[in-house]
Amino acid sequence: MPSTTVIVRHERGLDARHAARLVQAVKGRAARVTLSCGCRQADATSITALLALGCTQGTPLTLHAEGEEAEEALAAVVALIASDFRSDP
Amino acid sequence: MRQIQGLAASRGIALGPAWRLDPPLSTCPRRNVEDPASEWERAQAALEVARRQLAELVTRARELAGEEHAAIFQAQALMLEDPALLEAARAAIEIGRLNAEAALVDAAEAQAQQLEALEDEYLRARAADVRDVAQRLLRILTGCTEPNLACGAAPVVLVATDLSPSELITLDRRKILGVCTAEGGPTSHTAILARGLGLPAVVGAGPAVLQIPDATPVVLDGSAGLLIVEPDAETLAAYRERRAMAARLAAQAGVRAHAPAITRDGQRVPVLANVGDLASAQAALEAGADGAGLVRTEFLYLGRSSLPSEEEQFSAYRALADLFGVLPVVLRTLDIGADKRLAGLDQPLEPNPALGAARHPALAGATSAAENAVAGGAAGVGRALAAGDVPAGCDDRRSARGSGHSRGLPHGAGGWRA
Repeated sequence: MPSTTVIVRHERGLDARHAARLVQAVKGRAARVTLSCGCRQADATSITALLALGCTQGTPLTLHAEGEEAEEALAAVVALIASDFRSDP
Repeated sequence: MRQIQGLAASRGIALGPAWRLDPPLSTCPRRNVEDPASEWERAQAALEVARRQLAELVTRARELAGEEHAAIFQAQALMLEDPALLEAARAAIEIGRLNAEAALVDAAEAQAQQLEALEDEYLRARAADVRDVAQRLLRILTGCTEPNLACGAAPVVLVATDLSPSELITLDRRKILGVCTAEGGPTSHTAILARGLGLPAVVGAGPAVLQIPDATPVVLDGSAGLLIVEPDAETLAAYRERRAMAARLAAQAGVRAHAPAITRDGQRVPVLANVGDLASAQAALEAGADGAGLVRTEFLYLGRSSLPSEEEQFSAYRALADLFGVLPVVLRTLDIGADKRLAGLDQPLEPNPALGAARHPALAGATSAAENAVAGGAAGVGRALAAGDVPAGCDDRRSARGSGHSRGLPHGAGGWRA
């Protein structure tokens, strides 16, 4: 099960707009991506759960992915966060 | 007859039936259902309608207000599809045999509370988005497919807990006589907007106003910050008379508006309008303005996600200069940054923007277009000036630098900023 850790550098952290981009990056892929931030966990397709992570600037996020397209889904999420949410989902 | 005292937010008198903007979520119908399978279908149909409505709002917000505002509705659309929300609602219907309204509202409420528990103020405020989604679903399920007023006997005196500026602006102005909110203050954006729309408003009137049954006759006195519930015949007649008097006074003022403003000791005072676009310039001229003391050129930049071309700016300023003829027109080239963000510009966020920031290269054309328009523009423009070039909103910076951009302006003319 591929997993990795990224740091959210954007000054607004994981706000509604960024969380929406994450959901869209994962949705439709045969994969389940889970994000952990501190002791909280969120399914990447649940925008409310992503927001409830309360992930602010500088917070490390641990990502886990499983399923047929786990690698691709994970890469998409990492690319999005690493590019400060500028890359296309 | 009963009087509820609030805060005066926008003057004027409104007489008409009270109408609650949105029924509170707590009054959502709650019952057990016989056929959970068809109830889940009902829920899914409502979700589908809400999805379509939100998709439309995303497009509309993108066109009218830019990407940042569209993102709000985009997030709401995703909240509708949130698997946690859907699973909770489905379980409540299929196992709890709850009706679709209560199942969806409860599931959304649980999510809202999850967000409200966070420390971050921004994220806590997203709880309102989740509840907004629940409200939309409730409206759909209870048959009020159009938000707000379609169910009411319009025009009405609108009663709401609070009203966001975007809600106020999207409401059909012809259906609203006045606005009364339980919360909010007279300096809120909604109050400012109500004044701009000429809509009588009372704010901060307390939760009592939310208990007024729909269609109850009320008098809203925006100047006194007063809401009178079920006024007696005498009160009603007095307010009708006051309203007629105000209309007469406004008409008289309109007739004399074009006469010069001269003090008793013979000083003529120029009355210059603060205009935001061609329409408001036209209105100002019709109301007797002696010129434009401040043209907020932001109108060219706001409500779009790309920057206007220099040519577009030139023709807009030229049209204004032509409209005012020999009257003075002062253009403030741009007041952007700090509290006013621009969708078409990737501005860096500044911790203390009022101290000024480096000029944005993409805005280089703004000043020259304004200067060309007023300097080389209409032959009749005698005293047109270009003031500004202040992307981050700082006039001191300009005078300190002795910039040549404020051509024609006396040194330290920063007082033009509004």
